Amino acid sequence: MIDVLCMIRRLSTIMTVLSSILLYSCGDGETSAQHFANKRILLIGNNSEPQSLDPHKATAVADGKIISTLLEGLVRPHPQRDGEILPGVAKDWQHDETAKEWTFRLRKEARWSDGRPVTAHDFAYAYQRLLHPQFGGKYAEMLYPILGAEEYNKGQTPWENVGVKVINDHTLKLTLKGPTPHLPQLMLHFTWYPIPRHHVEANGGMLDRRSKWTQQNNWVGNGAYIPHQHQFNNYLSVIPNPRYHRRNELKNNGIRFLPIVNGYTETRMYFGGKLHITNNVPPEMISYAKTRTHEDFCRDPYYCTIFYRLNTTRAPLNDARVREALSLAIDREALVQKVVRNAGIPAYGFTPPGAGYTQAPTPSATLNQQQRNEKAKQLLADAGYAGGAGFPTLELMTTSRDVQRIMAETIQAMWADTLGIHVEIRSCEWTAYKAAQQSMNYDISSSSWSGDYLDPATFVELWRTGGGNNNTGWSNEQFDAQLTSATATGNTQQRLQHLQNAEQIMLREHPIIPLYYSERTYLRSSRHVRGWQPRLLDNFPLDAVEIKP
Amino acid sequence: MKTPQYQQGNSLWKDAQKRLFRNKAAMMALYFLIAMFVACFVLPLFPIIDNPNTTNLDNIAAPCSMQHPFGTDQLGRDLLARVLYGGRISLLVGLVATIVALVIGLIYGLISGYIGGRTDALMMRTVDVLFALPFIVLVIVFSLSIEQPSRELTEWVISTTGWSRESVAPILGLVPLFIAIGALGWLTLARIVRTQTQEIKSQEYIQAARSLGLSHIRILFRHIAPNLMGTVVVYTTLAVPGIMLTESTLSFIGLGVKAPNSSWGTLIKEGADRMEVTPELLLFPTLFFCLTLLALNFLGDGLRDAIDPKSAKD
Repeated sequence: MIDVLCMIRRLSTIMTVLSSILLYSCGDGETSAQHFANKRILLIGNNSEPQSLDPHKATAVADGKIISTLLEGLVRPHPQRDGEILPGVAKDWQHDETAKEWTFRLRKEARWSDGRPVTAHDFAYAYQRLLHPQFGGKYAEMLYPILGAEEYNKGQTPWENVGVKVINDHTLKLTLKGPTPHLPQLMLHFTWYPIPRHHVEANGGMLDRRSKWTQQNNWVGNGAYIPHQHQFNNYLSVIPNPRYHRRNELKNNGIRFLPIVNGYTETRMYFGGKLHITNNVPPEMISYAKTRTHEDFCRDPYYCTIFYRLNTTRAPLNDARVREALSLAIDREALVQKVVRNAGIPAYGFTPPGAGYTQAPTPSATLNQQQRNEKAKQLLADAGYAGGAGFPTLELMTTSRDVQRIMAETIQAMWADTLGIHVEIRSCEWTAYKAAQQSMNYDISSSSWSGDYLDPATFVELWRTGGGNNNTGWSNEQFDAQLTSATATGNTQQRLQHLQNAEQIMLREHPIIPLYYSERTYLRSSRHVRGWQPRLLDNFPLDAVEIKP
Repeated sequence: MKTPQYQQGNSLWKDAQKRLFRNKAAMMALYFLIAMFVACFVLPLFPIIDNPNTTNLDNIAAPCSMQHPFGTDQLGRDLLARVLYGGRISLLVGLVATIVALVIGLIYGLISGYIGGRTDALMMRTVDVLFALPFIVLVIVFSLSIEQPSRELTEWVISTTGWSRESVAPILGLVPLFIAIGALGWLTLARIVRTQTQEIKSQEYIQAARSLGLSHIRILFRHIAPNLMGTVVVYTTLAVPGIMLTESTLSFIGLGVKAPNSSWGTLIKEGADRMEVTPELLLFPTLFFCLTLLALNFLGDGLRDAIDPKSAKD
């Protein structure tokens, strides 16, 4: 009978899956954490499959982590002291007294992995590519501190007027828009890394967005590692780059990045001996993880905000009153306490406190939730949707990450209770989510932003008109003007004041709904991993991670 | 005058019924399924069951109690209510998608088997081609492509009938799933029906019907189709579990029901994630799902034995 055949086929599938799981976990009684520790290879959970290894196309944190091991910028982070800078490709640098003119001298022994020397031309080429008006780099505004960079990016001035000058093969001079004493801090980010000019030119040229230069067997880089194997949705492994100038200082023999979106799965894999460091422990698993291994559980401060982007180009979200009502009706205290399990702080502003910056209190922060709800109802009524009547069904887009989904369900219920409106939750796989967000094909998007450098500008700059990661359609001339003044002034206090003003302007119009400032909760094997340090930016240099068998 | 006593003849269906009633496992399965349907479709109409989507952040992951017999989930929603409402969706998908598959498969198989010749070959090769394609992938693509029209349908129903969105959306949101699974799940049935039709076609009574000059339609639906019913009923009961499994697979990967509504598939996924912390969230939905599948399989086996006693021996 056909039914019997079907049954047998189904059973055999189940048996195959089961037996493969059993075989995998029992092989020689040795866990893969142990196996790779013996080989001194680090197994690290990396959230999602990388979108691209091209530093000018990547925007996700997961991509950045891999790129930072494959390319090296002018400077690199200190492995022990957070916030301190060590020379990378540059052997030293100096700046004039206004901190506007910077000269970097490159080390002569720096080599690409194909043996060609790393020159100042590679840096200039990289900066031009990211900023090129026809390239469409999403992260171009990271280079806006350079004089003329913004104008060039918008097609208003030729490249010759941009403050990037190659003095000779080993000297690079940067002229900045305003005094920027913290420039080396910015340069830790992968958007400031060089790319191999000769290799990119040989693979379709500067403007080819589909260039194959980053493909695994075609890769040329100058970082500590080179890509080794990439199994889609399984792992991406990197091995030491034999031509790296600090080859002897690497503390391990390679890294495997495992793209595991589901934090529950990741935590379970950790306890099953498949990882050395995880990316994230979901809130509900925190107490469980703590009781299982107290010394392995880490809870670090993190320069990161969880928030909702609102698509301000779509009705009714083009009405600031509606946006404010949505924001006010969320009980952030309850959210953080019950859903996030206190792994964060309720947020009423966007930029997390830190790096010398404190938020001016927003008006809603001083109210209690009862008052906020009343105000929200009033605002929604003013906008013509009293009690939610006539309000269209909006779509709330989240990634498939569980924390985001539970949060979305909670907020969905809060909006229904308080405002009487219904939103539908659309949970997307990461790449689809990214694509929808960048093409602004959403109503409300569950987002997070972690600082690229230790300065409030990394948060405030996001909402600049036309910014590549703005993706809300919101723009405000006064806001942009405040940012320009912030860059122009040489006074630190004034600069922070301008940034604060800018943020206040943005918060008054609610293109986003801040939810909470996140902490990082993850697991790290105290038995196998040495030399790991918590980082506010989660940018610990992975070449300094020592693996003990 | 005395009326003559006639011995009432036993029809095929009567015999089958008798055999089914004598099969204890199948009857228990039947009663269980009826109870499950009542629990999922009737019980939530009474206020003893909470609203499955009401969150209570002050009562997260509570253990079993009088107020919440199965405890509460990660957002403080009553798990019993969620399991019952989830059952509505899972059972509904199982039923409706099976009916869609049944209608398509029956008609397709009948036509193919009855006409025969080149048409038959062509129709069956088409089925072969469709069989070769990966089912789940097709369902995903298909359900995504009819998502937009079905959303418009939801809006239209709400605006014309004036029913509340909360009562309409969970069911109508499933229309793509019904259609997708149903429209692709008829292949096996079409084959079975075709073979049976070919067999029946050569019987004398069909030749008799033909020589009487009956129309093809009448022969097909009056004389052939009723004689296929036994096989079809059996196949259907055995197909429902498979379709429910497909629904839970799709919900598991996030393509089935939309949050905050749940089906057994989504509940099991949520429970599986948290099995170390709150095993109840996995236990109860899994129990309901497994027992229902088991019951359907028992009933299907019982029906097969009852309708076609010969097949029980192999």
